[in-house]
Amino acid sequence: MKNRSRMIQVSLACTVLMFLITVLTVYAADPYWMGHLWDAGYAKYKISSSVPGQYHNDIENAAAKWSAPSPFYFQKTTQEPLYVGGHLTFGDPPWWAIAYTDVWYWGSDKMRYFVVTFDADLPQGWTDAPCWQGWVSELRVFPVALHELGHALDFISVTDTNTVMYTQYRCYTGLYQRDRNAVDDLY
Amino acid sequence: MKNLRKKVGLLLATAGLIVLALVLGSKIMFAKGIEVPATSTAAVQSITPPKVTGARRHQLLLPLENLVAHDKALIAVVEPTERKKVVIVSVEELGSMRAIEREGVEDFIADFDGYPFTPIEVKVVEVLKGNIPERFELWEERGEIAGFKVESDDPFLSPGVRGLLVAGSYDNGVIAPLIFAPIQDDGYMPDLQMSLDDFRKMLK
Repeated sequence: MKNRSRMIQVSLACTVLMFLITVLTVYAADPYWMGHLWDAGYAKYKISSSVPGQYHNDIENAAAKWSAPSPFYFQKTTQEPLYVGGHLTFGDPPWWAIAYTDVWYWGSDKMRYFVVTFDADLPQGWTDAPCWQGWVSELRVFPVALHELGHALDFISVTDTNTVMYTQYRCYTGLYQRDRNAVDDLY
Repeated sequence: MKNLRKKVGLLLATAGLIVLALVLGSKIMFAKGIEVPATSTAAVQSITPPKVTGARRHQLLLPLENLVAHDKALIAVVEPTERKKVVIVSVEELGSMRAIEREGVEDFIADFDGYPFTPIEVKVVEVLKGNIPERFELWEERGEIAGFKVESDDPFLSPGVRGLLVAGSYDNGVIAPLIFAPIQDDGYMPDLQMSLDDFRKMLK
């Protein structure tokens, strides 16, 4: 009887240990958030005049997707948000990048500013068409904005395919559960 | 006379309260990181913005097939041999390497005197694409100078770890590592989920 109860205890301990190891392995191998927060609980964004008007909706929708899961929100502004936010623009990244985001910090844990730059001269071109329409080779602004605004939350690209922060371009239609949980946990 | 004193007193008290409100208000805004529009009052404009202490660059690369097919892509099997001392480039030099969006950033981009990169020397084992010398330097956008820390999505190259390198060259000749996939003894590259032979076939 004593042995049986001991075995149950050991099995339970092993199960808990294995669960912890799995969780730790997943998160240690694939870190996601780098440790800086918008401590006001929101970030403002300005769409630069270089962004063609037809893509503004895509950017606003992407910002709204990140805002929906939690008290955190992206708020559009027409002024440069010098303290709590950043801007999105069409520019000239090196030839190997579709888009890139620079994020700036202050202190050890505070976000200061971000700049998302889409490649204005992308050979295959941008489109505002949804994933199921248009040419596959054309890149959609919405999923790229979704991914880049994830960087504006201090998330990094990961090899997990169940997040919009996957390292390579994919045509997302919205956030994954992991993304929702991440924002929800942080804010 | 008494009325005049009263009026002056009231005026001074009001002015004092306004100054106090502005000072306290600006301190609270500063502490909470509240957005301050550029066109705000002179009193608010005088707030010193919090000093930037770090930066991180994230790049969304071209899809792998497009990346390796690009005529400017440099591809080789390499072995990093040495991580060198951080190199500081001026903000102007950085601007010539990649577009720095200055709109809204000028006020704090001036907070630091230079931008750190870490050069890595690599030995080439096999050239797969591009004009690549036997040994060359890659510059990771990564490093720390005087309390300003820079990180990026550039792969971190460890000396002695052989791997497949996909790199790109900036206009000024500096070579940036884009992908570095360690190669196992059996030729498999877990990061790319393919073998080196399969990669060679993809290149053709």
